[in-house]
Amino acid sequence: MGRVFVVTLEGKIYSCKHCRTHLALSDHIVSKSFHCRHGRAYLFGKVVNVTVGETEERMMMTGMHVVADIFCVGCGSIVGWKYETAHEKSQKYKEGKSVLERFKILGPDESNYWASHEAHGVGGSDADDV
Amino acid sequence: MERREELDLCFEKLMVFGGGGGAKMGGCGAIIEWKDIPMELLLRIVSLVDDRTVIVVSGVCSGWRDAICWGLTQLSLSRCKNSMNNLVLSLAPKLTNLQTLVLRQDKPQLLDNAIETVANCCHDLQDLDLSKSFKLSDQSLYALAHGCPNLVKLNISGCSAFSDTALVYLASSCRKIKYLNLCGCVKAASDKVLKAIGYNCNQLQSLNLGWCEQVGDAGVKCLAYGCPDLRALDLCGCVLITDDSVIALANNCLHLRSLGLYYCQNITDKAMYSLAHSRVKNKREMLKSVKNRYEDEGLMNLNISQCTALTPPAVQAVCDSFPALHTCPGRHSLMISGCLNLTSVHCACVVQAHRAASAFPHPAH
Repeated sequence: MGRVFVVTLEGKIYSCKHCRTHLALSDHIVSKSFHCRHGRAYLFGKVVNVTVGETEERMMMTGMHVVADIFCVGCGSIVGWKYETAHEKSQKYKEGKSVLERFKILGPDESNYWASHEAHGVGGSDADDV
Repeated sequence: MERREELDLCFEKLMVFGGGGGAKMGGCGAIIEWKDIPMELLLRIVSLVDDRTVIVVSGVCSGWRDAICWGLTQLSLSRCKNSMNNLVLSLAPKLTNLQTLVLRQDKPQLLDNAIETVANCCHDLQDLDLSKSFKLSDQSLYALAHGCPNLVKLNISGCSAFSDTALVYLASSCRKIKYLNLCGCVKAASDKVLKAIGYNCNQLQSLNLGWCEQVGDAGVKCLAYGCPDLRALDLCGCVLITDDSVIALANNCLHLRSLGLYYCQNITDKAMYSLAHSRVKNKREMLKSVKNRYEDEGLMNLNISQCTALTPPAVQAVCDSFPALHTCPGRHSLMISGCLNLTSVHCACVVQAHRAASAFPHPAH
């Protein structure tokens, strides 16, 4: 396809674990209490350098949602999912926002995340049941 | 003291007519010491050193101070970590002939009073870089509008506190602006501002509206109608833009070289065909002007990454119409990252390489 176009960010950056492509800023974190199969996940208001997969309906802990998986443009690995539509009113705030799995990204201090660090089932809003 | 002797020796070696005295410089008197070297020579030397040294040099003696304050036209204070504001406050009143000033900050330090001082003292300012000045407010823009009407290049990217009213005012005053960077100025860059720019700043050549989410078709259309000399426009992340904007640009900005539409997901094939067809329409006019062969190239840079509604025939038409758009490695200028259905789009270079390869007879024959 040719050379990949990436957007560079400034500030406290979360990037892809494999290829270090910038994905989001810590300023744009909406919630840190999401969960997926690999552990914690953060809800971001704005994410860059991702391509969106096909939308599908998925049943999550908080109800039925229409989501699409998002992939890093640099290496193509799946980094999380994006909420397209939420059926329940209380979940509407998630629409248009993206969740990045903590296991798949490097934190602002380049830290990795190991699922064994935290106990599962503590707080949390959503589970990825793919 | 040894250092002093070394310097004196250097000085004596420099003086071609050897030894002190000898008033060969018409009328200026003898050159006996460092402080006596002609101003032009001093400025020439100063132009070779870094900015911190320039400021240090201006503090050596009154003669050098006056020479530098009179002759200095470019200054960058971006390296300052803490004291940029005070430095600007003290330097600006002295550097009245300043033309280029770079005040980009890693850590926000600049305040309105410094910019007001610059605007009051440096009326010849042409190039000002205020990127990442988070602490500046509209007062600065009003001050600049009054004090620096000759601005040609202005970079206020990242200044998130500016409002569009103040920028409208600046546009109506600084009508000679050619390069404007509003990347990340979410509040300041609105359709109202683009209308003002289209109306007032007709010499505009380069505009960066990256991540300015309020920008819409109405604004870009006014820009296209008002700034026929536009060469580079970046609409990265301007999600409200539709085909109408691109069509207006294709029809009115015949010198457009670089267009950025990253993540403008409302763009469809209609916009691509309008770009391709504008080329055909304008070819006749282009051939008339003998001015510059370079002018003939048309678009050199097009970024349509993540514009997932586009289809291969439309994008290929654009690639064919503009010979300067490349998908080949090394000269990459057509960005289609994230558009998985556009992998078949290629620039003419690939075809030519193919032809060259098949032109050689098979060695086995």
